[in-house]
Amino acid sequence: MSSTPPGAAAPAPPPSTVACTINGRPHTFPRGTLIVDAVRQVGHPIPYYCYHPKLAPVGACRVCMVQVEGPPVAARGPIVTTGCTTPVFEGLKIETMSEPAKLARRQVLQFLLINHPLDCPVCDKGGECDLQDFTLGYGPGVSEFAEPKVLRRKAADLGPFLVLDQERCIMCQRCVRYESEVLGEQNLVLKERGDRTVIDTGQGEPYAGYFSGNNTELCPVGALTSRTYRFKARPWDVRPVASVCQGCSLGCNVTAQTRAGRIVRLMLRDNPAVDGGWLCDRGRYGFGHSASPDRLTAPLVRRDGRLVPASWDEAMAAAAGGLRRAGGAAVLGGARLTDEEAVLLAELTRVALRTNDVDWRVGRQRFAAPEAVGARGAAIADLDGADLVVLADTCLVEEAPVLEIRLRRAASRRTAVLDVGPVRNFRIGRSTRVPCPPDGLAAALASLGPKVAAAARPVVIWNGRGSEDVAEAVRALGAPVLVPGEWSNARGAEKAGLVPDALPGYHALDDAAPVEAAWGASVPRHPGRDARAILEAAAAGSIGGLYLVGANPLRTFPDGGLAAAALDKVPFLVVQDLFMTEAAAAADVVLPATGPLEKAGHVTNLAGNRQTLAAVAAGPGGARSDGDIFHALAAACGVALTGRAPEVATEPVRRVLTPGGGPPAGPGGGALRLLLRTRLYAGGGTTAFDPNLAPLREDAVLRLHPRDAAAAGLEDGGAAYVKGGGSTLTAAVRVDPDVDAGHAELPAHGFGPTRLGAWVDVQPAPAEALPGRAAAIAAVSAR
Amino acid sequence: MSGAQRVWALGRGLGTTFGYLFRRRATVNYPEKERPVPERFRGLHILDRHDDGLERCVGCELCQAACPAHCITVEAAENDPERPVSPGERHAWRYEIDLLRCIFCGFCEEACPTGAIQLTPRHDLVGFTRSEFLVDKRWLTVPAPAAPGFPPDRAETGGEGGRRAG
Repeated sequence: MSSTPPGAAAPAPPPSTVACTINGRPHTFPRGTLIVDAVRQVGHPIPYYCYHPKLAPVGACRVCMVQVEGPPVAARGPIVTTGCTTPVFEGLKIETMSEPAKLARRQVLQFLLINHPLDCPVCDKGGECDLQDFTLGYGPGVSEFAEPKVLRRKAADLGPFLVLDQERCIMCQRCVRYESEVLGEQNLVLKERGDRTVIDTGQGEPYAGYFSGNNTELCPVGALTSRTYRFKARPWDVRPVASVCQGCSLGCNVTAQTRAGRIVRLMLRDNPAVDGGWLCDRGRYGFGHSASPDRLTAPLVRRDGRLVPASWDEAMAAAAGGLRRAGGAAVLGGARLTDEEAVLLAELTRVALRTNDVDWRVGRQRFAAPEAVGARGAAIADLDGADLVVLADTCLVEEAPVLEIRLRRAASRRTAVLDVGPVRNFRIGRSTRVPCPPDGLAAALASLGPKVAAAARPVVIWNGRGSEDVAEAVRALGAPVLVPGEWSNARGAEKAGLVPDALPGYHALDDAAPVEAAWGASVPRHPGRDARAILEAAAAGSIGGLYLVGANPLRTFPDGGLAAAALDKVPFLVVQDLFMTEAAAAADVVLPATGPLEKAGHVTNLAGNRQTLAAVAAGPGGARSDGDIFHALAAACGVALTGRAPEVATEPVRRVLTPGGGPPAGPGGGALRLLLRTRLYAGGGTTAFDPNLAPLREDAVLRLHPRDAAAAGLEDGGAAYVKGGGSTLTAAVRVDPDVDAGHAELPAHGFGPTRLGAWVDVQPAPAEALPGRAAAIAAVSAR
Repeated sequence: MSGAQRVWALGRGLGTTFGYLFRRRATVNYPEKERPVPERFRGLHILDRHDDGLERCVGCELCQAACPAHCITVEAAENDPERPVSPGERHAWRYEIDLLRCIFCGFCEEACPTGAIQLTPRHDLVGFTRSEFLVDKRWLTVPAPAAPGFPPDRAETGGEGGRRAG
């Protein structure tokens, strides 16, 4: 943590130190250090509310009063001033516990409490509240104010996650400053003046951003609290467990707090190298799936056409028998496992099922580690010092939201952002658009070569979609690459060899010796088929059994029609998942697994940081961890898994990216090119089943340029039929000038969108045609 | 010991015995009769109500935090503004005391900011199974006044288990 808050005025250019005394002891600090930072560094207690190490000083709460005496104010003798707005000076004498300083703090606290309600017993902050703590430590004990307190709105509704109690607010403005300084949004603002000042959203509308939850941790009092945590627990009866969010590939560090085995909230755990101390709302509030009543609790086996509960032994015998029947087995998924489980699945596939037909790429991401395609990997912190960032058709705020905060901060200083793609990906902050059609990404990137070459510290952010020509263009740029992908642990899956064209540890298929040495068994050496080829073979009926591990190709595979045909035609289907997904409903054996908050292990994030996952909650009774299931399934096949990870190859095999297959080009075509894009709340994994996120889920929202909307007779907030590839989808309409003309954007992980062709036509639809949830989204849009 | 001494000793002993016959008895015919307890005696708990029938308990869990025997479990929920259980935003949907663990120290009463949990002079704590001593809100909460709308239907807020002990 730097001593000067980012965003503060730059300190004097010559790096020098100043000597001063704090409570009588001499100390030296870098010039420009604020008194409050200096006092904190040497370990003396000092109260503050408005000051925050990540925000610029404002001097609003006045409670960090210290007594100073020295050269700049020598003529005035000792004076009392705020420590958060005063830097240390040479020869300054700082007293934090002198009588004048204590008196000043006591009086300030008395003022702060004039209108603060004493409803600590019903306040969610009670027990971890700075106002409680500092009043006890520095306050007056009794108030001289006998007048009745001002009454304001309590439990004001600020959207799905935030609850605001305007009476409790002490106007420290941390939330307002976080919104403007860190996010560059103005979702929360100050309204009115004087003792009528309140925090609110601009027009009283629901909070619209993706990062509202951080406000609840910034708020030093109980004014901004989380709806999901409301009255669920007190701070003293929760058990904190350090773990890692598995909502996206960034892997933000969290502390999960449980009460009686149930998760009540997730809080941030500052890791400057990964998350920079922020969480997105999906990560913070997306824990509801763990205790959802819809979880699979027992193995299911299909008997007489119906899925019926079975014992684990029965399910394992059925799965092992079905997967080893004629035609061979193929495995899809695995990018949501831990590193250790991914190795187990790789061993199960190669040794027990004797095949290389395994692929984690059931979505649009084609690779995870930049090294695997011959590019250089970047560290997350490289964004802070970058002078040029190329966004290769990657929308960070939807795909790895907390990385977007880092990019916004960088862009607000001196980082130039080149936003390549058919949609504006970087909406807040300075950037330069480089429009290109979805299949013109390679050419657009190639045209940026000179600019990247001229930059001192460029970073390319590419979500790993597209094929070898884009990889070639990225390699040619020569800049380090970050790959914010679709899956939480795609890197772990790739390293473990859950790909058809490489063995674990990035060994080539003909370099199997180290792998065989680790496992003590021979592995197949013929190249396997990738996800598309596996699904095509399954649709053609030439695969005996298909094993889906935490994967639902019906929602995530870009060609939903092919996925549906494959799951329909494959003779035997095993699905391992947390919920009864569309794929699980079609399965012959369903295996209930534990989720990311319910198992321990290690996970690798998009920049290769290996982090530790802790079992925070116990999953539903009958569910088992994926690793246990792999062991049991291998045992049912007559093989004992070692679980040993083969050493990583010194020369990683260079993989060639095959096209994952976008939607098939529709015969005849439509007027608009379909863009399937990741949306934060349209995810196909636990997001689709999380009760906490249910109000924000968006399956079918069509975004298109105002000109296209006008041409089709569509208006913002209305409904539309999207037709293509012989399929029709009803969607809510959002008119969005940030989508380039000629394109129609739909969320990628929906059930319907993946069945449309590459080109679609849009027509107005009656509002009542929208399914319930889409209608609700349209209503929000119209407001 | 001489004969006279023996007779004297016997007489003195019987004198004590017969002397007690005419004193006031120390025992009472419990449970038909009960001995009055001291004014500040701490016996079985109640959860009190306000005069308007609303529950005093706001589910703040301070009693649970203060309890040295860890015998109290409180879980809170938000009040429906149309049909509040307690004044304000918060009420306890679950309030359980394990009476066999309770040491009747009265810390819960001291910690309570609303005067909801109170220790009464009642002390008839009897039962046949341990589970009978795990008491919940239905056992603890005093009856609501006979006013229209009270008691609020707490079917959805009641905890599990818990029967009246004794």
